[in-house]
Amino acid sequence: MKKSLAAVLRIRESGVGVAGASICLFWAFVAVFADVISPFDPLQQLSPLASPGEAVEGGTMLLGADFLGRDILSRIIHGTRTVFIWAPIATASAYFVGVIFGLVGGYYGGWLDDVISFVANIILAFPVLILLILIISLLGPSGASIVVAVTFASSPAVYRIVRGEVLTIRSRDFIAAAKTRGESVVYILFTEILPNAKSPLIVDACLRMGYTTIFIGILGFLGLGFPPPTPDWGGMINENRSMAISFPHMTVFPCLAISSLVLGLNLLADGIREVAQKV
Amino acid sequence: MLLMMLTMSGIVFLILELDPEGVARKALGQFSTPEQRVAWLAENGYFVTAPAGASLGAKKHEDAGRFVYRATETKAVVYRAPPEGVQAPPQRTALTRMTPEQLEVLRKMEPLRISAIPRYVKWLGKFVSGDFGPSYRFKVPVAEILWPRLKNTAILAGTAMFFMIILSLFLGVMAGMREGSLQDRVFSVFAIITTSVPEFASAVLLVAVFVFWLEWLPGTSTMIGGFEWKQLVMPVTALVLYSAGYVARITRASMADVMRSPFIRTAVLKGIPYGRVIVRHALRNALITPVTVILLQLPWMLSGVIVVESFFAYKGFGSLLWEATKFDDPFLIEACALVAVVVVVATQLIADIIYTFLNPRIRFQ
Amino acid sequence: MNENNQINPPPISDGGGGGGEPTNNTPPISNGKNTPPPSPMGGAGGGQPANTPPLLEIENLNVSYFTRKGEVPAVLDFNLTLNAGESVGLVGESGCGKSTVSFAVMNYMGANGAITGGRVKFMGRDMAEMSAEELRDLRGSKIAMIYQEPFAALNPCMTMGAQLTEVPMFHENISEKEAQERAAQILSDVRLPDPARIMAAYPHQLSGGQQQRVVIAMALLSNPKLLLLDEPTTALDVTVEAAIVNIVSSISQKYGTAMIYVSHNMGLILKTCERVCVMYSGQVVESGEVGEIFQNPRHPYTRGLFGCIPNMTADKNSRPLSPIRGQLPLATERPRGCYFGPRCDFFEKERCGEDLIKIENAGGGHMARCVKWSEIDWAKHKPETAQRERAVIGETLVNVRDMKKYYELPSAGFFGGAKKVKAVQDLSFQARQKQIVAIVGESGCGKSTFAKVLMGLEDGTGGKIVMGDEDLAALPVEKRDEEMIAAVQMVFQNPNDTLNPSHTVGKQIARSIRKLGAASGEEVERKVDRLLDLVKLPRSYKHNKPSQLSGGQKQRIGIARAFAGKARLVVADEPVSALDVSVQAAVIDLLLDIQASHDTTMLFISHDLSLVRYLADNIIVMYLGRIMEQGLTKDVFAPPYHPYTESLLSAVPVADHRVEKEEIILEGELPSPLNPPPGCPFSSRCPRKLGEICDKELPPKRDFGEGHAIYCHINPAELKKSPPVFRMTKQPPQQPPQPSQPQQQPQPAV
Ligand SMILES: Nc1ncnc2c1ncn2[C@@H]1O[C@H](COP(=O)(O)OP(=O)(O)OP(=O)(O)O)[C@@H](O)[C@H]1O
Ligand code: SF4
Ligand code: SF4
Ligand SMILES: [Mg+2]
Repeated sequence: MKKSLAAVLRIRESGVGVAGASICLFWAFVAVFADVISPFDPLQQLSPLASPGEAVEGGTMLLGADFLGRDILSRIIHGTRTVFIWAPIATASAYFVGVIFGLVGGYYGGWLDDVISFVANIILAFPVLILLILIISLLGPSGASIVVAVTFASSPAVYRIVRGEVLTIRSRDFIAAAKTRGESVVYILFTEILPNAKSPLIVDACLRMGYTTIFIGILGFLGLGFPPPTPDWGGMINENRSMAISFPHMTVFPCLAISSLVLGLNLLADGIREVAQKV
Repeated sequence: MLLMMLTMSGIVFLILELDPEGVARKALGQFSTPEQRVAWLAENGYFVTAPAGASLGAKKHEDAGRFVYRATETKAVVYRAPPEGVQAPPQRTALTRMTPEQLEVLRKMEPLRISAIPRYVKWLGKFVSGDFGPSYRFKVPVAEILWPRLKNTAILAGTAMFFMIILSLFLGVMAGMREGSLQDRVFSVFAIITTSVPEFASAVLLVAVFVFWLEWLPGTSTMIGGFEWKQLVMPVTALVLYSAGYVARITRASMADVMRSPFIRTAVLKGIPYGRVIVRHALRNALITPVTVILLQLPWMLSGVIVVESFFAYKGFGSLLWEATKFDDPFLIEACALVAVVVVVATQLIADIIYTFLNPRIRFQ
Repeated sequence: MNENNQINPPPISDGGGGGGEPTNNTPPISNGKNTPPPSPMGGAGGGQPANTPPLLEIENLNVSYFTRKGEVPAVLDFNLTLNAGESVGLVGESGCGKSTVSFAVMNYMGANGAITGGRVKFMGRDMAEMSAEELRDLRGSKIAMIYQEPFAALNPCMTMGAQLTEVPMFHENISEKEAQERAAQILSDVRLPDPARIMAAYPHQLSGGQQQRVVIAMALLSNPKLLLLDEPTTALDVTVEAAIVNIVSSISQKYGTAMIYVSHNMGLILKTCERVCVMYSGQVVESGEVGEIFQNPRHPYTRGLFGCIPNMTADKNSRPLSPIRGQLPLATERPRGCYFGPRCDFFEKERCGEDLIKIENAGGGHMARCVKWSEIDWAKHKPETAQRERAVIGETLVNVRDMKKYYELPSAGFFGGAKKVKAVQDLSFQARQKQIVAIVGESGCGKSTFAKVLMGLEDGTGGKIVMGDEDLAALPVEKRDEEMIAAVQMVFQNPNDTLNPSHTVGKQIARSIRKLGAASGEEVERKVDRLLDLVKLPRSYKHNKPSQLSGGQKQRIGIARAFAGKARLVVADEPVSALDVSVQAAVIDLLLDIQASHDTTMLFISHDLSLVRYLADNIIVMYLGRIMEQGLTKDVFAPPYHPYTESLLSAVPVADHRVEKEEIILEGELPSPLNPPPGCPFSSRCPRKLGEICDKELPPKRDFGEGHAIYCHINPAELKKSPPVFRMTKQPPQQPPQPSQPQQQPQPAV
């Protein structure tokens, strides 16, 4: 336990990593304490079209209000929760599928690997967004369908990484050593191989979390995300986008929120990579 | 490649067409009756059909007691009789003239569908021959609206690609050439920031700056008054920023890798001029990965195109697809998806060729 | 490059007359290392008047690398003077700074290295003061370099021709056509057949030996004054190495090129150089004339090194190795005082453990960095070495009969039909209890494939491996029972691969103990401790991850793991080839001790003939999947020889100045196992080839008694006539007469 904590804290060795981790922690904090720190109820309609800094009954709307008069800041704060719940679930689901297929395909090779790789390549080559749109239009917009869609679109990429790692690791001597002492395939896959593929997978998980955040944002932006009035960053941009030209504050702040979170994740991934390379 | 194209279209088919009822519902709207849908499906060839008045129907009904035929003016639909052996309705009754009791019986019967595979073959055949079916939203054949939109998108995406390639390769090579230098750091920060800002966000931010604040550029790109480069600036910028960052990062990594490699050391220690080391020895090797990545970036750009076009109301392929999805226009969605398949497969093919060309290890096995 | 008119290097082929008949093989150039350097002939050689400065002067050179952890001093206080035409060797174990010195001579320190003190003067000019342009002018024309890994050193996207011609084109401003002619010329000088084809090829289309020859050609194109060779043959097989070394020394002689030859192999240095610098942990610890250093080493480290090198003329029972204890210090963790202190038997706290030790003159040009160089009485000093009893060989344990293993390669085209690689063919031998059977051969001869089949990692294609009443060839590891698995264990080659980096050492040993049924429950922990004791590692190491261990320590853990159960047969696949000599000796010693005390049979796979000579009871020599010769060690290493064994033996560099040996240089490259010669596998390179019969028919087995068998068409009486490859001489060796060799060798199939 102590050791894994020490491993996590090694991110301090990388400046980029610290920056990324701070941004991510900041947003995680916002998500956890959304109820406490948000100045207004995110659904309450107060003063339509209020501009940033305008005072209303019960406080100041620091970032202004949207076309229905809901406080933008409060909606962004609560929107953090949406992201922090669904992005990890969707990413984890993609990882689950990708890792299983990757381990099996990479270890056994042969026709099984050929088939899985072929399908994975096809999905990878297909424009992600069109794929997501098609799936969502089939399932209807909801959190669950976002999970399904992201799993479908992202797991092939995870598969590819895992498979590549397995291919290199499985030819190493310690795998032969495990075989020559009679270990089972399951033991070899999960105890001998997987732990050694850890660091590229963690790096990729951070990046992928960023992608998922973007996907959720885009779907919200296209009106295929969470049904209104859920506070969702992408959805906020969509709702207010007809007024983007005259009232930019309604859309600019949610954009900054998404971008900064993704930036944080990307920086974190870079930092982890840097630290892992040092060893 | 062909296999790939078939499989991809198969996936599109699976997602969109596996459930014909769903297609009918989309075509006719949420409030259509089951009968209307059945009729629509019959008309559009989802069921086994026979021409009106075909004697075949009656015979079959009498012979086997298992099938019932229902005909519209032009088509007949084959129904499988319900298991309990319900009294069969009169044959060849026009849809409109059925009695409520007859309808009740019909409803209990299961339409005899064509199984998925022959339907897929037929479906694909139609697309290949250029018959995309009608668009319910635009009330015109899909083909009529699709081609001009594709042309617009080609202009947008092509321009974006052009700038993206120049920008990303330039930045990537400059950064990777001297790993850890100031220029490397600056370019890397720039790249990581742009990859973190998705197209819709950069579009919003660009509008806020250049339209609202500086008032330099128009906020939409409808091109109503004819084609105008000015309207293209922002969509292209949004597209370029996001993907250029990604490709630049890959180029940088590839270039830095090559610069660290022993053969560059060999070249330097051979005493040939630095410029030649970079151009002749480093670039060729460093560009193998980015060039293929750039081509594979095209599908990604198609995703971006959907967002950017719909944001700036640019009349292209992306906004068409988006509208089709929003209004559940089944044949239009299908057509758009298949166009995407073709584009993807074509770029993969080109990428493979270029890769083989660039990499002598593949060329001369 | 505009002094005078640069003269094209004349062709080297002294017999062939200008390379006019490229298909005729030139006779092997005698390695004239022992003749004085030839007086430089006119032209480019650079006949300097007596008062010109030496070619290269290195004064108090210090080089550091700057990493995140801080400054890493890689080279300290390095001095060297080199005159035109001289050759000096840099030896030392990995990480001691040899490469760093050679790159410093090029003034090329990479992104994070820097010269932190001292000077490198080339022809009297300080290189640090040269402009970038001047440096560029020097590199590749006056100073050229040959690298350790030829494949990595060549640009994968350019043809050899393009990479060769750019050197003279930029240094001498000659036209492309002229450059091409010159490149073709030099390619035939390094004895590459068909230069036109090579020029059009990309690196991946050539074999390792061919690539290295191209790199050498590239270095020689502008007729440099100084040639730096950074382990030019380490990545190559011995027979290829011998050919390359031969080319390099004949060329340097011909043109009076000065050489700095970097190597970890004492034998090679003895063969190629006049002077030598022995390096340890960034410092030169001893330097001087080669003969002097080999006869009379002064520094305990140099002595120790010689004690670690298995000798071609002795075995484990007559002259055991005397390993140096401990391991090399990291560049960041050097001890105070003498860097060799912690490993030195003569260490004295007051004298050796305080101040930096200065290098002192021990007479003549002989320098030694040891405060006690004059006091130590080497005659009295007997390093601790376990005298071994010759083991009593027991019953037959494993019987291998006609073992075959073919790999199917997926065909490239659609209708190509799968190709077969015949990795092992008709391998038959027996291994008895407590015996050490060695399989030797160059890369691709099928050694490791056989090990894999034996371990059950691959299925055999035919034949039997009988152990007890089981046929191991038909029993993949999944089907073996616990007892069988424990009985047949393996020690792997690569120390960085043999342990799983993610788990602690203790856990991995414990897992082996449990899986091999040696102990369970509480008992396991105690057994782990006992095994660590057995391999002479501190018990606390069980909490370490493999990354915290040195290569030798990892190999020890690998050995502990193999002996965790009741191993009756241990397969050791090149267990020490990745280790430094001083560490290698200790690991070998340990392995032999455990093998003897456990009464285990060992199958020792290696490419290192001296090592095999040292430890094996029985030897099997393989080439391209087939046995060439097998028998007791003493028989294999003495006449009659198989022609391949003979060539192998003569190619091995021997680190003993008293040993004199035949020079047989093999032409051509190892044939691809996909397309081996139809008759005798060795026929494409054999110097004693009889003719058509060797091409067409598999050679018969010639039996010489006591299990000594040679597979060759030459008749036994003839075979018996060949003289021994090694001879001991007391007096300085003289040029051995060249054995008459057939001149009409076939053009090797490449
Ligand atoms: N680029 C680098 N950055 C940091 N340290 C380095 C670098 N290159 C070499 N070193 C360190 O400098 C020391 C000397 O290295 P060098 O490569 O000269 O040794 P070497 O004798 O050539 O070893 P080998 O036999 O393995 O080639 C080593 O401790 C090595 O770890
Ligand atoms: S100085 Fe001392 S410790 Fe160093 S080698 Fe000499 S005797 Fe040994
Ligand atoms: S059989 Fe012929 S080719 Fe083979 S080793 Fe003997 S002499 Fe040489
Ligand atoms: Mg080196």
